Amino acid sequence: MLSLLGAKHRFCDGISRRSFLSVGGLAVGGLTLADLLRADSSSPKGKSHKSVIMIFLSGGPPHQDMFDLKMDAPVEIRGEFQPISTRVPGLQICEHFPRIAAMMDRFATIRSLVGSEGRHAGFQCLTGWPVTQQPAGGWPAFGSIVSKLQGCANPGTPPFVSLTPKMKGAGWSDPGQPGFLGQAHAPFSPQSEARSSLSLQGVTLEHLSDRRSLMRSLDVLRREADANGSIEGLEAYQQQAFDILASSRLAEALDLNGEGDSVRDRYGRGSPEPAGYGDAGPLMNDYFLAARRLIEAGVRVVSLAYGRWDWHGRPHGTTFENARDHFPLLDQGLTALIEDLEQRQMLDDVSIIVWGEFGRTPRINKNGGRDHWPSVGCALMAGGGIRAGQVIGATDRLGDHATNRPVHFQEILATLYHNLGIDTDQATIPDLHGRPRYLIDHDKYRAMPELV
Amino acid sequence: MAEVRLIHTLRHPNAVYAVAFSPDGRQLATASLDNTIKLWNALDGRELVRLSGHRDGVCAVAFTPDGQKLVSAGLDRAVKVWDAQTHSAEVSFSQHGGYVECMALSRDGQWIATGSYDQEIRVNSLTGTTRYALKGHRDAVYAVAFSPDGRWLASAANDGQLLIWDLETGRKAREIKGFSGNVHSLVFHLQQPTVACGADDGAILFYNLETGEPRSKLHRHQRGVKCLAYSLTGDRLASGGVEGVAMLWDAQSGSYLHTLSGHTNSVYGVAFSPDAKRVATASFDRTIRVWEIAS
Repeated sequence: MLSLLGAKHRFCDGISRRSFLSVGGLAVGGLTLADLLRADSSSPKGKSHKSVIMIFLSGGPPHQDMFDLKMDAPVEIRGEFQPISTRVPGLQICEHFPRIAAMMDRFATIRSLVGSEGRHAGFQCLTGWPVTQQPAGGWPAFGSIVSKLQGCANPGTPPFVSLTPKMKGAGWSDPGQPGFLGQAHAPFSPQSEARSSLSLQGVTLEHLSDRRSLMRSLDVLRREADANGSIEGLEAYQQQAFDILASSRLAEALDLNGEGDSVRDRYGRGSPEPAGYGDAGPLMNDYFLAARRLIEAGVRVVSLAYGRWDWHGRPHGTTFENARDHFPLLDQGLTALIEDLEQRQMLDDVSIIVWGEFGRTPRINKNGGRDHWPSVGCALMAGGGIRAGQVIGATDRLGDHATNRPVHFQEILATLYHNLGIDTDQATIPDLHGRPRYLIDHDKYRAMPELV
Repeated sequence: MAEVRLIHTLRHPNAVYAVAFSPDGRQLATASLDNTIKLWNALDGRELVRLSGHRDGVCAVAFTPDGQKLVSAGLDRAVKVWDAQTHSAEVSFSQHGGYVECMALSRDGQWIATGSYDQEIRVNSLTGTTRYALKGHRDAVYAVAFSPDGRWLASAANDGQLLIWDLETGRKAREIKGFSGNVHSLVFHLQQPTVACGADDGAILFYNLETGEPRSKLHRHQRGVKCLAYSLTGDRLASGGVEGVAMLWDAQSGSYLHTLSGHTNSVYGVAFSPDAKRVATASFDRTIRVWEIAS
């Protein structure tokens, strides 16, 4: 019996969406049973590859309550938490991150994240670009670009997987769009509620091993797709889609029963129910474990949304009540992931970024919350061979703005590309007009020299 | 000092804002930021049913004195009256122009008072008929409480005001002063004309309802007091605070009895069982703890 990630949602058809697999842009048609069987689950695992796990803290995490405490600020700004020392001499962080503090030498702390467009969405973290003034077709997500440039590391695993679930907050549930690269480079999204015409309705993971059942479902899907025209233009990545569906590798990666209870307990498990106001991602520490398993299976980029960090205060709890709820679980899950990767000697190959769309207001509002603050935010990076154990950038006494070494979103993405072996000064992708597009604004931003 | 033992730890998937025992002491109702209410067997801690219908967090829950109905209020501005046997929502009304953050049910079970971010207090019947819309606060209303005889209503808001309303006339009777910051919790003594309030600085202050004069003060909580409850006999007081603990007090003498430790986040709700042998605490840490008071 497979245990899949995510909340179990029953819809009016009475079928649990949790048990469906869909592949971004899955197309069908023309494939024979032999094609499917060729995507054999017994294909060998590839050699170690470079990869990225992007942890999106949906809503805008409070930089000054996490990794940049302002103990000299007035009480209406300072917040409730005390700093604790870390393994990095002179670096202090919030008392509710004791495990991160104990392994701070594995992290690079960025206290001066700038350039946020102030929009409640994962888009800027996923692409590096603002939503406005996009090229035709839209900017592709980081993972989609990696899919385009590097393809699959293994035939049975997609290059880009998003564990971001469907949420009420639409901007937060963005798994990463392929933009002008087209659906061939959309993420595999086991958590999302896929368009029905592009999913294998009624096929559970257990049934994937039953090829006859699979073929029957594919026939139904093909007829529906032919009828509504959604099959057009999708041939290019049919094979990849079916390889993924027909292989057991991905299903095995997502089946956390493959891990012992002690491992899942170390990660913290978490809750599949939406955190906070109910409109954002759950505090699901199983995602971190699944991310590691997906990377092991050959995925190059795993993105996930974690929790609800948009804490404006009462009546949905003060910033500090929500922080006492979220911080310990992030502390547990993130450090478990780092330890696990390290024990498996994968940490130098896997880059981890933890961030949100912006920071929070220095001044605590009358409801005990902090509001949106695009002027500055924070990020944590680890793995990927970066020079960890350092703090980059600084803010003023109030946490109001960056005073030293402002770091733009695109610099972080450039660093992640660098860690994957992609040179942002050279690499381009063609847009819908065939014009080569650089991955970031390469005249202004490049991989952070402090880290690479 | 009281001897207290933790007997159940119950869970919601999100913060828990309120807790109430049924009049017979057999059930426990809990209200959560997960948009639901759970009913539990108060004796063995078994979850009985989960009531869905609110579209945002549920901030308050109370049983009617006959135990036949359950009243809830939510951040979705809705007040719902549920059949406690069938668990269906029989009545639902929404009259406020902002989040509802607090609710109280009169002791005779006839009236529901709600306080909102629209700065108003509404007093309604259980069918939603409005008796009063009380205006006077200048910010979100954080707490409301009926006096045992139903004559008075106390309200506290984010404007630093603590007001007493005369429910025979629907007019403000007096303003009570003398506390620090805002009041977050209110409760009337069941036998004496006294209103207790929990303040930002951790103090619990007692005022003479008729004169508004201060009577006494307990100050052991380190931070804001989010909830207060008297036992039915009026001889015990429980308080819960932002520092994540609840405390038991001898309501007659004001003596401190015990600290209930274990929650890891603010304690938002507290309730005594009808026989006062148990006390339940609800916390932002997603749990409800049920404690047995041995002496």
